[in-house]
Amino acid sequence: MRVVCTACSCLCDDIVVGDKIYHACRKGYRLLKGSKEENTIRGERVTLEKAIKKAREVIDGKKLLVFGLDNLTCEAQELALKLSMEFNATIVDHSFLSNVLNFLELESVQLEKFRDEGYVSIFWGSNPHNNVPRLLSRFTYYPRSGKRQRGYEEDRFLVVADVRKSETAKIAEKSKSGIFIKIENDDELATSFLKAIEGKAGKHVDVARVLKEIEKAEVNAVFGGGGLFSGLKNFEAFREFLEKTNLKFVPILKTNMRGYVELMLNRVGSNIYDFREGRAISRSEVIDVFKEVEAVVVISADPFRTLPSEYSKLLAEKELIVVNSLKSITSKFAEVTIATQPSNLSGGTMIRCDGVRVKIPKVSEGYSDVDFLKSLLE
Amino acid sequence: MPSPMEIYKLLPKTNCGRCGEKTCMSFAFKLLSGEKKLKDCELLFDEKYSINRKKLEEMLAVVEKAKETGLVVNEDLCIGCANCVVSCPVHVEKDPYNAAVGRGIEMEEPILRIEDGVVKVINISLCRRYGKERTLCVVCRENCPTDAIAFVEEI
Repeated sequence: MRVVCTACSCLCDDIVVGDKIYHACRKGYRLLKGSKEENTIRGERVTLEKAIKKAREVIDGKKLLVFGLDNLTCEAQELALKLSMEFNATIVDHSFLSNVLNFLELESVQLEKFRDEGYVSIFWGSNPHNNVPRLLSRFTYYPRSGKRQRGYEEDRFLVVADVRKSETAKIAEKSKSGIFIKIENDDELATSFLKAIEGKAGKHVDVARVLKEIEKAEVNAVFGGGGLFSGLKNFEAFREFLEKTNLKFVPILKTNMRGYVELMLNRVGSNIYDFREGRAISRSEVIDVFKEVEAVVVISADPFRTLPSEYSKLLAEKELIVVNSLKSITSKFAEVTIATQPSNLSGGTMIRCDGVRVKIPKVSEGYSDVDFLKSLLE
Repeated sequence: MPSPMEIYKLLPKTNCGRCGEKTCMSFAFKLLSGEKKLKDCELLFDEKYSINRKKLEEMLAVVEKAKETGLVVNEDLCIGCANCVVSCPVHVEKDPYNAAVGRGIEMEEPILRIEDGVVKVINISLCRRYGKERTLCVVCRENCPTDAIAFVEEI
């Protein structure tokens, strides 16, 4: 059986599930074979019906936060939005943690096009090793495809700009066709690029070599990650650098964060929205939301692992309903846990990091996030 | 992976030569390369070296797993990124429409394949380091971001 892996925003469509799981990275394997969530009330195993009934009781009449959502299909995200409207809840995903919205407006390039034609890939504030383990081998650096038949040996150039020597940076440093630029400040690097374009010297002298490599091909891209989204202050300088070099931008995001953000911007004009007050919430106000809410529905996320402690500490004091396919740290603190199957089994649509809509085939009839959200909306 | 010095420290260090090597240090290198076995050192089987022998057995367990080409895969470090599978020149030649372009390898009996989230050695006989016309290819090791792949002679 072939499935699309929904463990990260690569959405690999070549995974084979049989007696073993073939081609999936460790993240993908864990999604399918990790320790499964169970239906529980305060840690005691119960039937699904009892868990849903208890979940309804918990959220009834409370100030509610709906959180997570980045790993859901677009269809489930739509229902989560509907649930938030119905229960006058506030809806928040991980995109509030950084200034990612600006970056989603930048011109992207399809990963398949980059695989066939792309030359320079700049991993800026991102470490695919952690977030998108197969990105280098499937699309950016190693494939011998289209115009890039000599692969990484001659037809690709890898740049890693990061504050630390990450695993990806080690590969760049070891390779003849790669370079690691250690940065302390993202703005300084953007300014260095702009200065080098004008023929002036900036703080980072290596950028001149990168610019020379960029001139060799038409398709080059920056693959930006959380480090860039959080660290860059002068976004206009970054945009100017991309425009002057005709570089495309691919944000490395959580699985379907792009789908969530697009849905929210289309429907309510903001990625964070409080339906009780009927207004968009700014990033700095999210901490107040976490303080004020009484109950939280966490869907397909593990905020105790992914959020800064100032947020997770507040969550620990709330009544939590955790809906997930895998056991998580958050579920240990939950009033109610609901077990669902992973979204790569229940099917739907997701938007890949490059903006391409990917159809996830339904391969199993198990209980899904969509089923849970529908039951709350009945 | 242990170093020759770490192994040497646990040997009797008498340079008795009964193993066929002139020095214990030389024996340590040969243990690592798989050319010698612990049983070749008679002294190690004396009671007073029993603790050291046990430590050496644990240390060398990973070397025992090394394939004929000297390839050692530490699955605990592997994240299944498939850089090794896609960059392998043999895979590129024999599976040009899948592994070479970054997709999951489809050829039967490849050298390496990602199974259950980590790389597995399937058919080492295809490796360029194997056989009469072998070369000192280190492509898979060079492109592993986690140092999960090593070759015994380089250790």
